[in-house]
Amino acid sequence: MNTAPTKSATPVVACRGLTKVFRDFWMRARVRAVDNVTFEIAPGEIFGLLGPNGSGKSTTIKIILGLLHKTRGQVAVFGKSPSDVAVKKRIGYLPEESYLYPFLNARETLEYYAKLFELDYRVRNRRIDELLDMVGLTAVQHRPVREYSKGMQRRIGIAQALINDPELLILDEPTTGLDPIGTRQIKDLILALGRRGKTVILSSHLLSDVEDCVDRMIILYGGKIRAEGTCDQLLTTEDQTILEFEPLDEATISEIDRIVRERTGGEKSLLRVAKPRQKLEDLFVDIVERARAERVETAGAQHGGRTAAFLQGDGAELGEQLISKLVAGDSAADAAPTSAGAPPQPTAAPQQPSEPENDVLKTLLAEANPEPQPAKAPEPSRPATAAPIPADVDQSVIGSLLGDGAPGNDGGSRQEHRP
Amino acid sequence: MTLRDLAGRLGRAQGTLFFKVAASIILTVAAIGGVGAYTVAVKADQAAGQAVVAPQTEEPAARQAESSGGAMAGRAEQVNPEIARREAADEITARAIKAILDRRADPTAIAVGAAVALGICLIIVWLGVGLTYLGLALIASLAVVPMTVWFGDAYVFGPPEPGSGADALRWGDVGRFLGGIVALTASFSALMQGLRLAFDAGGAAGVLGVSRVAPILAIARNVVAEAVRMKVSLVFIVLLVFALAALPGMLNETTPLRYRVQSFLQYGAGGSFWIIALLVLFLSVGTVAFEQRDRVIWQTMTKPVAPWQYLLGKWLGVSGVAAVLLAVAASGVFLFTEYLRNTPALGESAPYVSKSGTGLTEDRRVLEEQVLAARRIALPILETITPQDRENEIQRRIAAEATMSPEILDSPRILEQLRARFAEEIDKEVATAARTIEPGDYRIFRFEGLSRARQTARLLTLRYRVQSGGNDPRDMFRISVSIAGGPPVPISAHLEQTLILDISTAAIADDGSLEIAILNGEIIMDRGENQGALIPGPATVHFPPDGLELFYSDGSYRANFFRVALILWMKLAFIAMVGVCAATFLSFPVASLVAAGIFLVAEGARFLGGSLEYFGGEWDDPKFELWRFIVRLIAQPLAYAFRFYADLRPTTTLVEGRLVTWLAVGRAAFLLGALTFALYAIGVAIFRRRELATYSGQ
Repeated sequence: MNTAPTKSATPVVACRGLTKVFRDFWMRARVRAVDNVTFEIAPGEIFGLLGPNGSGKSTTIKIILGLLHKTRGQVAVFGKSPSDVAVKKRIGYLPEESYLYPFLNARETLEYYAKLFELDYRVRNRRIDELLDMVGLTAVQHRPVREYSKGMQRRIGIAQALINDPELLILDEPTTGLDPIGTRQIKDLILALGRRGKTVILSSHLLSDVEDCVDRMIILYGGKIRAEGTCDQLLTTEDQTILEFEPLDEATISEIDRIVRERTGGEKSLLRVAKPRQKLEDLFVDIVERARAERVETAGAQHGGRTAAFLQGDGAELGEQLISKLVAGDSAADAAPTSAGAPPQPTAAPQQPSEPENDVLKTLLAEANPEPQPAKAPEPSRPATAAPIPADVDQSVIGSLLGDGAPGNDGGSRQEHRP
Repeated sequence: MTLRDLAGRLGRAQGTLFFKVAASIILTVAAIGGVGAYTVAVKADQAAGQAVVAPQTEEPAARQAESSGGAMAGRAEQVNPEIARREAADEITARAIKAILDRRADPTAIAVGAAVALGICLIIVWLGVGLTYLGLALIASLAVVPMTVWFGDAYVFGPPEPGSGADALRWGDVGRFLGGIVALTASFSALMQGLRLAFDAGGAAGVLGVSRVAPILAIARNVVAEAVRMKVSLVFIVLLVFALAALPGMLNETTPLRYRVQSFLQYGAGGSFWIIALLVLFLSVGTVAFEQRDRVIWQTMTKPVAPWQYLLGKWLGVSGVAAVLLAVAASGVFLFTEYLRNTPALGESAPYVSKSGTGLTEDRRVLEEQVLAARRIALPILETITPQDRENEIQRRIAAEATMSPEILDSPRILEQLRARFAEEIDKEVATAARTIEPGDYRIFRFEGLSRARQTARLLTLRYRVQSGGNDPRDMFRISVSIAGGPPVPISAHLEQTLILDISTAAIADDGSLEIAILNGEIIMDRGENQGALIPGPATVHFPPDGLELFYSDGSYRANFFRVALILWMKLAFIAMVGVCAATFLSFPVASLVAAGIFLVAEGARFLGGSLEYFGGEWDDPKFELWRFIVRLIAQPLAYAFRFYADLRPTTTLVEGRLVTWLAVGRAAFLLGALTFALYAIGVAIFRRRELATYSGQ
């Protein structure tokens, strides 16, 4: 999953024997929130902090950020103390809830945080445009933040955490309050950043969030580390193998079982046959995609999805386009199709340019990951996740799978059953 | 084209560079042209008017025409010096009166008003909302103009009941009130926007390579946005605007003009300061405390923002808001005072034109010379005791004490205490004696350093207060005053009443000194024979330390007003830091109480310091009480730390027409700056150690 280009010797975050004891007014120890925790996060790693509520995830993060002071132990961020102001230039942080200035609007909020990083006027405006587009708030950017729904506030929170193109992104429960589309977007974003060699710390108690993204994790309980390792290390069941096929009939399955028994001398056999169930998240995403393709109106946040160009690492030339667009006038920039974030592509609704396209990100991801199924790539306007395959599928597929190839059938048969 | 389209087009038009440049040129030309035309018109009017006024001031004017400089001096040598001196004095007095009367034609006030208005208009134009404001102004004038111009004298609730003496509300008052609100609100919002633009320039600072400034200005700008958009702040701002707009209507038109001007300055400047100070207190505490309570600060402090930058930004934002509010309030007070100045004083038929024909009414003279003035104070140089005499006297008293209780000579500690006590007593006695005159006796009070006053053609004012015995205010004493060796002028003085005496600058000697002899009694001159009889006063008279002061004008009231406003702002900036510092470690309610407490102690430090003298609680007090000791322990350092803050009293200085020198402004800036910086350093130290997050688990 992770293809970090460089691995320097200095860990991004290093905690050794980290302990945090909260005291009451009389300085009596009240809670030992973090207890002798030791871990290191290497550059480019997507690191998970797992644990139930109150297990010390947020406290650990706040010590890393300098919002809390450690009681004992050592903590270093980029090799320096967390209170070092220079370190903070390289960090993006999304707190567990949205804490925003209610009197500012979305754009002003991002401007404020951009200025704290002393970003140049042009860079600032370009990034704000791209981020608003990415989190789908371009249309409501001039409304005060206090009028936003929880999910919309969350999106602003995500945008502010990314404004400085951080090397270390710390996300504390990033998907709370987000709809499944937003959740999916966050996960995709984390993966995209991971590919660019960014380090991400993801704290969550939603296990599926963590499972889908992280390289390595620690599981905390009562302030102590209970388990540590990569997803594969922690989750792989070594004594079983899973094969996936297009739908098979009974006879074929029996045949496969027979072959397996033959080859292993009867020691191993087929244990279970089941039809794969789509995850609810996938189903939901699919329904919304279809509705959007039919242009059903919504009052809330638009689902942007286009990862901001500056976060993709190829911001230089895209920036040029954006600058020329900005020079042309703000109103024009709002109305024009913001195609700067992605290469040209067929879109589902070209007549409605102001509505951001959802699937750009996936196209980008597909391009950045050239390995998976080149034969399926020519369908850019479709979600990357596999749709359920109808039962009345063409039987010739089985034949091709079993060896007597019938090339070309694959794509055509699927196309028929698409809406 | 619909109205909406039109509005859209106008909205776009006012944002274009062409519109901004064109509007700026038109406004500037209009302002300069208007002031120029007014000046010409007034000068012409004045030239025409002088022919009418001339008979009233004929004598001094004629004299001025025939004498100037050397001619006068030459004449003085030939003729009797006493007569020449008196003539010179008369001439200077006449010149002083003429100078006052000339102020009627002084276009400075109009120029200042035009400059203020032009500045605000230019800000509005360059904010790209010129036409919007113009439209709002037109709508407002649709309501205001008919009320003031056409129905100005009509009563809103019917005429007043006969004999009640009170005037009823007229439509003109309502119109002026509304107009005032519109003007003040427009100025305020334009200046606020301007302030935000100024703080937005942080990016420009970044471009110039000035690092670490951008975050400070971003935080400051955020405070401005908070002040405008949060309702609590808005309440104070609306209160200020309403109070300022309503104040002119509260002035009683039957009282002398000088009192009206003084009350307006007192309530306008003083009241505005208190309203803004309270806003500054709550805003500074709230902006830091609420951000911590609502955890918004987490996102700010996890960005590259050091504690010193954060607190500096907050303080800068609050001080900026205070500056805008003060600028609006001070401009309002200043311009309305100038308006009042150009209304008829008591005994005047028109501004600066007296009904009786004496040239200058008492009301006008006091207003111009003592209220709308910038006066310095000179105190008399009093006789002192030589160190040798003082030492001798101390020894004599110790010896006298020793005859009664010889054991004191054995204890060096008691001896030292006695020495200190006697020294203090002797100094007090000498100073009191120097201001005391026995019946029938006289004393010469010498004022020095009046060379500057001598150069101005304005009047000196002697302010004095006579005390005697029990100071029964019904008692009246007769004293005589002789200025610079001139004939004694008898004066009736009620005890404990502050009186004034005008003195011509001609009385000042070449070395800048002035001698005033005061006789406790009266000389009855016998006409014909050059002799007089002395009638001594009934008892010893005494002048308290602040009971004998010589005032003289130095500099203009307008510049003084500006300097006073500057000091007021420094005080507000200090209060802002008190609030910011308190909120670094306290929650909003507690920090507000602490900050408000410090503010009140600072304002009342003079009173507090005075009270402590009689409070007791000293360590060596024979009747030692612990609680008094604790109160003193807290109050004394506070009173000491803020004594100069309390001594500033800018509003009082303004109302009494006293000069605030640039040196005084600099001193205030230094001392208040040092206090503010000390608080800032404390705040940063606390903030660095503070944990901004709390335990979030169960």
